[in-house]
Amino acid sequence: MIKTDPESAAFCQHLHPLFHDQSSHIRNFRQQSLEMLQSSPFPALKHEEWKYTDLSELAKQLPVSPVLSDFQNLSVNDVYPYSFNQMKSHVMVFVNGHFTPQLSNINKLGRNIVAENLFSAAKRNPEDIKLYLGKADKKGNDYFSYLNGAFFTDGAYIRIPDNYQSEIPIHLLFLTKGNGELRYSAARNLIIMGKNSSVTLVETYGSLDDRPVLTNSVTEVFNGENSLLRHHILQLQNERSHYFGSTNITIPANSRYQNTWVSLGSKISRNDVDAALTGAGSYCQLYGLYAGRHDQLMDNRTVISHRSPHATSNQVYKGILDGFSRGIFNGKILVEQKAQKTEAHQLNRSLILSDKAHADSKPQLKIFADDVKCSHGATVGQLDKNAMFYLQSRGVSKEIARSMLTFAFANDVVDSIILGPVRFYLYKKLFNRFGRDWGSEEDFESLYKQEE
Amino acid sequence: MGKDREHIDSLTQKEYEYGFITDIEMDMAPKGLNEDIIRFISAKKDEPDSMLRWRLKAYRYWLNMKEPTWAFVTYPPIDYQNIYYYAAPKKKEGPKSLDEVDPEILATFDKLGIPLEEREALAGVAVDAVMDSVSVATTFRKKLQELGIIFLPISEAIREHPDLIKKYLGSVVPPTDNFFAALNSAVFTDGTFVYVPKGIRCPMELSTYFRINAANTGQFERTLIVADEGSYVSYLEGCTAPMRDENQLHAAVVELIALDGAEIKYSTVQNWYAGDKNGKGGIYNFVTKRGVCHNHSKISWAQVETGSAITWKYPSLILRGDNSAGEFHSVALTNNRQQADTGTKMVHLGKNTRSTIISKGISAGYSNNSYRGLVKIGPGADNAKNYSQCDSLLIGDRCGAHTFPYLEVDNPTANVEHEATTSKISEDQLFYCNQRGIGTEEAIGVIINGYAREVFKRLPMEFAVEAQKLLTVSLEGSVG
Repeated sequence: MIKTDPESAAFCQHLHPLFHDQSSHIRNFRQQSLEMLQSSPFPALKHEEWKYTDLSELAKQLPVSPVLSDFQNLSVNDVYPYSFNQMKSHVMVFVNGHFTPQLSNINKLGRNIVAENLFSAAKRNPEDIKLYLGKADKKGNDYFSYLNGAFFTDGAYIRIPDNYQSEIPIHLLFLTKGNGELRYSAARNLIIMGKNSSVTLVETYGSLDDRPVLTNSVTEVFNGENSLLRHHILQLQNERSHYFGSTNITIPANSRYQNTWVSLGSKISRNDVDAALTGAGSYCQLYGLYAGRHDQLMDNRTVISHRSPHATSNQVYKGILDGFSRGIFNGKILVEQKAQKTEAHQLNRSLILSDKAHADSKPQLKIFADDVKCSHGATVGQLDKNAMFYLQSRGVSKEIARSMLTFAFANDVVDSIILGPVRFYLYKKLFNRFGRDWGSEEDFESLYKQEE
Repeated sequence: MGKDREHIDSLTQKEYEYGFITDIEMDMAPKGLNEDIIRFISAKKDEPDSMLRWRLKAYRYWLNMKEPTWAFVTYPPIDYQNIYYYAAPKKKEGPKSLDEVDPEILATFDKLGIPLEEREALAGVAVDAVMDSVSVATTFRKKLQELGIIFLPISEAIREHPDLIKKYLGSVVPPTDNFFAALNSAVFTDGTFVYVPKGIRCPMELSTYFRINAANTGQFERTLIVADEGSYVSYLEGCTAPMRDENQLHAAVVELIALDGAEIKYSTVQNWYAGDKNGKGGIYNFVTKRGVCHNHSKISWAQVETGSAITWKYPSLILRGDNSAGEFHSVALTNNRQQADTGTKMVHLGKNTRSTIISKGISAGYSNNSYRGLVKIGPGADNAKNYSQCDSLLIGDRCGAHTFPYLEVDNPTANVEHEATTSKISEDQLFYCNQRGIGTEEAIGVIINGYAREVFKRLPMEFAVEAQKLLTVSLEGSVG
């Protein structure tokens, strides 16, 4: 008999899987997740992995599964703001975790690529679902992963064939639409890469209105041997919503995985990244930017597990905290005993702009092999005084110098996004936040055009 | 590689040099812990009633506490009822000079290479030597008395200076602070009390040698150092313990108070029995050390930790006063099955407070060595600065090195930097030495000592020599 946690059980009392005509694999998976969920306590400050994130307010609310009416009557215009100025891409749109084909555009994908919603895939390709669903690596599975497993309402299933290389990115757009209750939007995504393939994937989390929604997504990525996956995740939800997202990645031999995480939205957001380097010559890069203002709380937890010799990982997370916001970085590098010749680096830098903002940093190394090069660094502070002086000595006013440097601090991470239109979209957002003293949006646009 | 293996074997099979049991009759309380034992200890020490109440309060609180499990160490559960809480070398009319001290005890110190009389003459160090639980010899007390410096076993201080004790004991580490601190508060049997009056610079290094002696006796030391305004004191603590098969529990509490403008330097060399190469025996070292800095004051911790089966120790500082400064310099070496979870906490509360953390970990054999540290900048700590550096060196492929720093910053003017690296001894450096005719063993000694140099620099002369010897001896010939 499983011991049920009462708070945990109460929290999900209004949740249910949206559709019942699912494959047996999905049903089994839901059942397992539900059992694990019931025995997991609701995250609280006393849990080491939730030490700085207070969810007691959220625990009092009852999220409600989406209903069909959420998805109706939406037009392409509604999602236009998230199209990055109509960037050339293959788009799959999900509203409250539910696939909406009328807003999507995946017809022009190559013949061998499969890009469809998870429920269709489960009917057409049950073996894959059995092989991959819930199988990506995760150290310390937690409450929100189980919650998603039990109550997800669809998701994207993408299978890239061997030797496929494309310049055109795949864009997964997850939008939320609220109503009086706290809507629960949970997508479960499976990304499976073939050998020798290369692709860019953008995941965007946005809101269609300013009502609060609880987003709880899980993306499982299985990189292929000798493949490259560029994975950009943007969290741009309204500042009343909650976001709990996990990305679990398996990186086999000679493959590269590059993740860029940009978080600007949500009242409370939690970004969980678990990457396992399972083959020699594999490479994992995690770049992150979290810019909080008002009373936003941004929690980032990353785990990179080195399971195999000769793998490399590199991690840079940057936080900019204004207003009453709180930024948390909790990163762990785990090097197993057999993972000799590992090279792993981790850096967390936070900038505090106001006297009521907080920054917490917990960069951890857990190393069981001896022939390794591992390092981590963390800094919390203000802008570089020398850089400020340099600009001021050249006639730039203090306010503008501060704007420029803050903007530049953030752009270090944004620059790692290879898609021009996405980069431009983020530059503009960040300019509006930090470049106020520097110039108008038009100034910025003309400046940017010159640069291009 | 075969030769390296031999080196590693020779290292891992090294027996504890200082292991022996001194045969002295003991004055013991029965095993176990209850209110009667605490009353017995308190009565033995002629303590005032208030002290007994203080102990009982701590004990009652302890009963409801849970042993902490968050540290990265594993050990079989401790049976707190299977420990002797009081053991004293049999008293013979309280020795007044070294001549009256039990010759066996003096011989013990001789074996350790720290003969008291030699120290007295040579180094000018006042030694308040603690053999198990009762101080057996105190020197230089007179000279210190002239300056008004109080340097006493804590049990005597409780009797002779009740006001100071009442004001400061438990003011930094309250009896309810944590599981082991509460246990210590209930049953501590001895330790040291130092009070340096206003404006006095203590002319010599104060030093206490602790030694765990009676089989199955937990050592519960209590150290309290108060440096009054504008004063300076440097305190040395060094430890060795005889070889044992059963694990011994050591739960000490150290409290430092630096009042306005004062400076305290606290140095430790810890080389207790670490258990044999299979991890059998060895000391459990669960220590709470904390200091408080008032305005313009400074406290520095320097430690070299090479012993103990398990070390659980975080010398911390609360920088309460404006413009106060804290330092932590540590070398922790683990070998065989040793486990160390050690580090520091720097809590910045005052304005313009500064702290530096330099931690060097060395793991060999099957050991696990963790750094766990907290740097907290409170909302009022304007212009606070912290710099931390935590390096780990791995020797052999079966050991682990871990770093768990916590940075919590609530002030925008603060500047906090943390850096850590983990690596093995560089092949290039070894090759370079070999090429110039320096043998591998010697080269490792040189490299390790260079690696830990920053910390050794901080130790008082006598300790620096001892510490370097300790590291070189422990790591002879171990090639990664």
